[in-house]
Amino acid sequence: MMSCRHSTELMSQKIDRPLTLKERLWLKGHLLMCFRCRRCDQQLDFIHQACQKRKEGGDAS
Amino acid sequence: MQWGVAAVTDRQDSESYEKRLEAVRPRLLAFARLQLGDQHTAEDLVQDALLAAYESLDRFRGQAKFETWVFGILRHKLLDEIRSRKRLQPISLNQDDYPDIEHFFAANEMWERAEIPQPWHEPEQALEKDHFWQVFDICVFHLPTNTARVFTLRELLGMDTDEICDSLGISEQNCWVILHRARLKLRACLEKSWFLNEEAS
Repeated sequence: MMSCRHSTELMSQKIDRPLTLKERLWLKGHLLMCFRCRRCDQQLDFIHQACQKRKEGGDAS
Repeated sequence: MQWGVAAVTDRQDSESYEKRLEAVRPRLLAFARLQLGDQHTAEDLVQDALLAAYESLDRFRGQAKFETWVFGILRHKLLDEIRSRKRLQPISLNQDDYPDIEHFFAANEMWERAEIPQPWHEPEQALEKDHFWQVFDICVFHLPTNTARVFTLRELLGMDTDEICDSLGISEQNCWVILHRARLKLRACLEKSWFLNEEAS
C-alpha cells in the first residue's frame, strides 16, 4: 500500500486505459494517504490536459 | 507577443508572419523527423504544412497561439502520413530506450527526498506562453528517442495505445511502461526548467 512507485504507474495508466476496480481502489487509498503522490497525480493530469488543449488549439483555427 | 487580428493584410505584418513561420520550422522538422525517421519525407511534410499555414494566414484569427496553430496543421499531415503507412518503422526496445526513473524512488519505493514533486505556481498561465511550449518540447526531446516517439504519438498526435502498439509492433504493456516513465521524466523536467525557474515565468 505504500509504494509510491506503483501509485505513479497506475496514475499514468489511468490516462491510457480504464483501471480495474481493484486498481482504482488501491490508487484512491494511496492518494488519500500520500500528499506527494496527490501532487504528482494532479501534475500528470495537468500535462495530459495541456497536450489536449494544445491539440484543440491547433484544430480550432 | 500579441498578433493582431485583421492586420494580416498589412504588408509589414505579412512579412513578420513569414519570419515567424521560418522560426518555427526547426521545431516542426524535429518533430516530423522523430515520427517518420526519414529526413526527406519529414522536410517535404513540414514544407507542405508551412505552405498550408501561409496560404491560410487569413484564417488564423489569433484565438490560438500562433505556434500551436501551425503545429496543428502539421499534426494533421503527420497523422495522415502515419496512417497511410499502416505500419511505422517498427522499434525494437532495449534497456537504453527506457528512461531511467530509478533515482526518483528510494529502496522502499517511496519518493526520494530530492525528487518529491513540488507545488507548481499557476500552471494554467504557463499554457498561454509560447516559451512554455518551447521548454516542453525540449523536455520531450531529452527523452530517449523511442520514448519520445511513443509519447508524442500518444499525447501530441492523440493516438490510442492500441493503435500505437500496432504501428510500432510493441506490446501494449510496453507502451504503458514507456508512457509511465516518459510522464515522470517530463514532469520532473518541467518542474526544474519551468515551474521552479523564476526567470522563465
